[in-house]
Amino acid sequence: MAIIDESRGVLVVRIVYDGPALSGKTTSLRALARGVSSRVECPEELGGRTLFFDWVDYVGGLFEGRQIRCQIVSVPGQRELSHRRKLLLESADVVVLVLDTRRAEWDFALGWVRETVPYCRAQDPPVGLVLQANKRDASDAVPREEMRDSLNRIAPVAVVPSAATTGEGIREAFVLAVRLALDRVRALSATGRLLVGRPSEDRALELLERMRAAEDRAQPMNESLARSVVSALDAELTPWHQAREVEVEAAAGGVDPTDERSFVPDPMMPGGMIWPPVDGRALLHEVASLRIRPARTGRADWCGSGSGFRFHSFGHAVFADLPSARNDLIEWARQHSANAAHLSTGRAVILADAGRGRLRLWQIVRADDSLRERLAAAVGLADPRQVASEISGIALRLALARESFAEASVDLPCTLWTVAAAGSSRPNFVGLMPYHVNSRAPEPAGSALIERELTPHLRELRRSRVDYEEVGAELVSLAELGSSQAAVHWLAQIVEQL
Amino acid sequence: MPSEKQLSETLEKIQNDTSGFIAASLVDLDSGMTLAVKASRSDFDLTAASAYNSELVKQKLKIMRTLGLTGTIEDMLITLSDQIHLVKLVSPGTFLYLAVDKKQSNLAIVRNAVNKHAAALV
Repeated sequence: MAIIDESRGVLVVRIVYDGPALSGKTTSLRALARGVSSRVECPEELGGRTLFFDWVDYVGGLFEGRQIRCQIVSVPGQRELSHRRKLLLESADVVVLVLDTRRAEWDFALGWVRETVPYCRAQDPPVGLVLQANKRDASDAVPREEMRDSLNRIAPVAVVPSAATTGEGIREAFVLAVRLALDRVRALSATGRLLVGRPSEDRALELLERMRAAEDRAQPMNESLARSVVSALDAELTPWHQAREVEVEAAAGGVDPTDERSFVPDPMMPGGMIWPPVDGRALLHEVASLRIRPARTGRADWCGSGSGFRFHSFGHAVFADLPSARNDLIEWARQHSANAAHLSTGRAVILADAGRGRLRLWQIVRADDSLRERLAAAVGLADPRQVASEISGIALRLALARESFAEASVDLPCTLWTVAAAGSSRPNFVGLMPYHVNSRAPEPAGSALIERELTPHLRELRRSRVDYEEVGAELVSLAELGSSQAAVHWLAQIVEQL
Repeated sequence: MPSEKQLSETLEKIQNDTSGFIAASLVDLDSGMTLAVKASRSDFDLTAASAYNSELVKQKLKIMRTLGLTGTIEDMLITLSDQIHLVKLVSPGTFLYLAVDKKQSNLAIVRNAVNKHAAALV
């Protein structure tokens, strides 16, 4: 739906207020309209019930120099009008799901969440979702903790408490929705899919005409049926509610608790779940289209790689609640920041939905070439002197990296796989960032490190190259020529001992 | 450290005490991550603003080290043509970032509101 209307110099986005009947969508829009000095248009309603949609037009804020025009619409909540709801959801840049949080309605509301979350995530780019937990002023409202627990079991979605009748929380939900809509606009823009032109529906009546035309084409809507829908609303809710309860119980009984949702990079995720806050989101946009799907390894870690990126999550980095997950995210982000001078660029730490209310901490790392790749290229060189020079350079860089990593506040493994092949005189760490302090043996230094990393490769070189003697002689000669670098001498000693 | 809910409530109090309030966040200095946020305008990217301001504070600390200054930063004020941005260090590792509309507020109001509630953010 998002479109740049060049003739008016505005960006048009559509914010769709979704939710069950009587959850407070129209009341929310009325409160919002009062707050932004606008008015609600309702093309058709019956007995206070929306039959097509409510519409609020609001212009405010700036996006890349253009004013933002928000077409704010609410859907009809009755199940029998779900075809109209579907049509409106298809045009959404962000969805605000208004839920009735009173005890009697809560399970029913959760059914809508289960239905709407996958729909929003399946769109390309995904449509942002804000849960507006309404009727918080009711005496029988579900306690906040219980509400969050229930929602977290479905998905970690932004929740804004509200009381639409008093206007509390309405503006906060709207502001968050606009922000998510703009995230989607950025994703569309980055992939060249942001439309330019006049919006297909510029006014409420135009949208009404389009919806009627769509119904005429598909299945003409009998107005008397619509009326009977509204009058029979109470009877409608009960059986659906009961059916959802049965579904939920069945799902809870039949799912393996160890089962986890696979990681799918979501550039639309809330800001507090990504580090670095700005570059991390840009990285997510980059990797979102790569279709990398990590798999679980034998050590229970999750790994995935391809197209120049690696995704990884340690097996135990899964959390049952958002506060503890955020604490670990921030702690790990601090470690990354504190050691930025040692780390390769192109890294992000992400808190992602792991399913069943859990969150998993991921790292995404751009796969820069390591010394291992440089060594693989070196042993294929034809000239033995060049081979020796490269191996010598690799040993020097490894030793330098060990000295540099020793200054880091975390124990960075120093191997051929974790040291950058090229770059500054101070080699970067290109491996996966360690998570928490573990019981790894202390990293060797000096000749022990060179021996551990290069001896197997020198043995393989001796076995595979007919001119190995020339390579070895060159390595010894480099040391004899008076190199001041200790690593070159350690390498020569290894060659002589082989 | 207060919970995220308590931090958000404190930011809300700052919002209530500050006319022309645009946005406020409590930010982890090392990582630039927001610990709590409050905004009244949709076009204000508070996540990005917080991250960039953490770089600003870190650069200022670096300058102070270079100059051999041993004092600490209390706050940093940036006056734009239409906004006031205040960065208040509330602990060695966190700062409060506040943006207000200059037409509707002034520095005295901003500092008063911040100083009144800053202690609750630690």
